[in-house]
This record gives sequence, structure tokens and C-alpha cells, in this order.
Amino acid sequence: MREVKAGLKMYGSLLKMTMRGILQYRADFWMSLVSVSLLNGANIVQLSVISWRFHALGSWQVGDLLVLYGLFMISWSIFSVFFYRLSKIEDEIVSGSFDVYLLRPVSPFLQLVGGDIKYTGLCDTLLGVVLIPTGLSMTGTHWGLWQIFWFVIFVLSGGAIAVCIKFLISCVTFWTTKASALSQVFIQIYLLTQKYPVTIFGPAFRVLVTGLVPVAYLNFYPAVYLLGKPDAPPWVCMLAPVIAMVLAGIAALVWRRGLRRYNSSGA
Amino acid sequence: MITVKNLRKTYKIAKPQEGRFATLKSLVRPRYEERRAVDGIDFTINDGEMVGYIGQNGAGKSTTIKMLSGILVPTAGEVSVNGLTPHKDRREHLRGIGVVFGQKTSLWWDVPVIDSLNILKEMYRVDDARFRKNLEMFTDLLDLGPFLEQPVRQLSLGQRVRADLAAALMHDPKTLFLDEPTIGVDVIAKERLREFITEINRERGVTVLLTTHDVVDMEKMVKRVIVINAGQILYDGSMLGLRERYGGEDADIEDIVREIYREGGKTA
Repeated sequence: MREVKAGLKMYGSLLKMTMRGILQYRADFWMSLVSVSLLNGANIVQLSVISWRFHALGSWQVGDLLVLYGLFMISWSIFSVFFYRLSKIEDEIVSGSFDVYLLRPVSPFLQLVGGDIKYTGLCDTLLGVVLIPTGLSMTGTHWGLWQIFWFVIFVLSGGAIAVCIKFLISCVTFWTTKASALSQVFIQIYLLTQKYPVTIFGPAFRVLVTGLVPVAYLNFYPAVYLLGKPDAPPWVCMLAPVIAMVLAGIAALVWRRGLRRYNSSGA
Repeated sequence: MITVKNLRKTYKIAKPQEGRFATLKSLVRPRYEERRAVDGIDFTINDGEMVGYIGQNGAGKSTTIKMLSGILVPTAGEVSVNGLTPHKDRREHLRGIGVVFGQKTSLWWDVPVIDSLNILKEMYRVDDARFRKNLEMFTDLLDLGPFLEQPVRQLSLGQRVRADLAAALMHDPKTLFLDEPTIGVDVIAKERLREFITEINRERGVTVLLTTHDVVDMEKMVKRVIVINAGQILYDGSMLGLRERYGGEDADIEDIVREIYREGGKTA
């Protein structure tokens, strides 16, 4: 317990350093904020176009699809705001800057995570926060306390799953020093599950995104449960936190083995 | 005390394949070539010693330093620094050592030097009094004053190495590993670095292992040198002995080093 507290304190100090570094480049800071806001505006316009042109997909109404997309955005932003650096191990290894993490008596994982914060990702969170109530009101769904409770569980589990998958792909670098191909495959997969209910793709794909690369737990299963869709039994949806924990365990193991494999670079 | 016994580090390097479908072959069944960066070395360095570790580029100096500091896990053999195994007792080991890579900074690039020192204080759990005392001393000896408030990316190389040295010593390590600390630094700044390192070794009894290509560094700073070539130790002994063995008392140290490297090149 004391270790967790010390870790959080260290994380706070690292973030403070990172923020201070970011604010050194004030112009860039403001430009990124402005450009991302514009990009998100464009996203919302695009979505309103989608929802206007889109027709229901099977039993999924346009409002349901907005909830599906919104859930993805919120879970994903947990990764992109706080854990983005984990997907950049490749760069750190190639440039040799990873060495430094191994020279300080603080967990390298913590140093990696504390080394970056992508505040621009907060726009994704915001998008999700706007989309979900919009979608719910379109379909006339009402969430009680129980649903809100599960919404929180789903978002946290989904965030953890996103972080773990990105992290695991990144850890492949310890063995191969490059992981971009794998990363591309993953992007192609989640670009599909992000917007469409998994059931329209057939059973093979469903197995892939449920068991192998469980991105369906970022938004599909949560949406099925929270919107009361018939696409999957409730217990399968409620496995989300379990899957998150199993993945986290695997990631911790792979990370540890990767560190032992680490070969540094250069002189 | 540093003890190294039969230490090895082998890197696996993917071997380019020939013939038809070479690219496909190397994807499906890659063939690896082993490169022995460090090939069975032994040495002992006692507390308070200052030792020069020299060798050509790629001889295995940095790989040794990286194993001693715990960045790399050895392929075989034993390493012990202050009674600890670097890659196993990572955190405790790191509290007892300081490391400076002349080619890379371990400071935060975009923030003032003093901020880096402050977060290192937290990482190493240095208490306030000791921190203040060390900061005062290093500011004085290394003349950090003029650039303590400047971001690292704005420092000259000489200033950066000085800041890195201070950072590596804030937690009073027993052992200091310096990998080419004087590389690319001008003559006057070099002189100051040498004086500082010598003083730290003499006054505080810090054990120092330093790699360098600069013969003046060797002559002015160390009494003992270890020469490594192609991963193996060619010579381990006093500077005086090195002179006697390879050319006599008045021989130019640069000629001697050249001679050793040539000889090593033949046997390797």
C-alpha cells in the first residue's frame, strides 16, 4: 500500500516535469489545442452527417451507433491521454533513450508513463461525453444508477484493455526492435469495431475481437449490455473487468521478460 | 568493490541471406550471427580506486559499463558491484552508483537543470540537508551557477556534461561510471572536468571507472588502466607498467596505445 502511494506521488512529480517541458513550447501548446479542437469539430460534423445518412444496422438504431462510438472514444482516450508513451517504446529503444529509465531507482514503467501526457486526447473524451447522451436521447433509452455504475466499470475496463493491447504490441520491440506492422494490423481492426457493431461481421471476426484482441470490450459488449441489445448474453458483456485484469497480468509478464531481453543500442 | 568474473555479452544479429528468395527466407527462418561484444573478462576494482578503461570503438567498453550499471543483462559470468548484482538488485544497486554517458544526457531535455536535480533528489530520496550541501559544493566546483535555471537543450556540451556529472553525484554514490565524459569537450572544460573527477575520487573516496579515448585523460587522471580489445582484456595494470611493457619510460602514451591497438587487431 505504501509502495502504491509512493508510486503515485512519483508519477505526479514526473507529470509535473513533463507539463513543464510541454509549456516551454507555449506556441506549440496552443496550436495543438486549436488544431485538435478544429479536428474534433470536423469529427462532430462528420458524425452528424453519418447519423443523418446512416440507416439502422440490423437492430442498431442510429442513436445506438452513436453510443457505440462514444463508448469507444472515452475508453480509448484513457490510453491516449495518460498512457500514450507506452506505444512508443520502439522510438525510445531505437534512439537509446530507454537506457536512462534503467539508470534511476524508480520503476521504468512509471518513468515511461510519466514522461508524456497527451492533453489533446481530452477532446476524444469530450466527444464521447457529447455523443452518449445524444445517442441515448435519440433512442429514448434511460440509464438508472445500475447502468451508470456499469458504464463506469466498462469505461475503466475498456481503457485498461486499450492500454494493455497497445503496450503488448509495443513490447514486441524488445524482441524485434520494430513493431509497426503489427501496430498497423491492430489499427485496421479497431477502425472497424469503433463504428460498427461486431455482429455484422460474422463469427470469425467476432472470435478475433472477443478472445484474441479483445477490442470488442471497449465498446461493443458495453453497448450491448447498456442498451439491452440481443447480440450477446449479459454475462459475456460483464466479463470486461476480468478480461482487463487478465490482459494486465499478461502485459506485466511480457514487460518483465522484455526488460531482460533488452539490448540497448549504440555506443 | 567491483568484481567481474568471466563476463560475457553476446548479441544476436540477423544475418543477411543470399540466393533466391533471400528476403523471404530471412523472414520465415532468420539466421543469426553471434557477435561477442564482451568475451570473458575478469577484473577487480577496489574501493577508492580510479581506473581507466580503454579500447577502440566497438571493443566492448560501453557494453561492460552497461552491464555494470544494470542496463544490460549479461549472457554469462558474474558481476558484483558493492556486493550487489546489478540486474538483479536493480534499485538498491542504482542508489549506490552514478553513471554519466558523455554522448547522452540523462537530464530532462526541456526543463531547467535545477528541476532535473530536484526530481532526482526525490527519486533517490536524498534528504534536504544533504541535497543543499551537495548542490552548493557542485555549483562551486563545476561552476553550475550561470546555467542552473536554463533548460538543458540550451546548454553547451561542456555545460551539459558538468550538469550531468552533478546529477550523477547528488545522491553520494560510492561508485561512478563515466563513459567518455570528456568526448567533444574543449580543452579548458576538459581540464576542469578532470580536476573535478580527481577531486571527487580523492576527497570523497568515490570509486571511478572511466572510459576515454583521450590519452591526456589517462595520463593526468588514472594510475591503473584496463585495455580491452574485441571483447577481451589485453592489459590490466599500472600506467607505468604499460609504458615499460610497450616502449620505455619516455615513450609517448599515444604511440603506445596505437601500438597496442595494432597488436590487438592482429590477434583478434
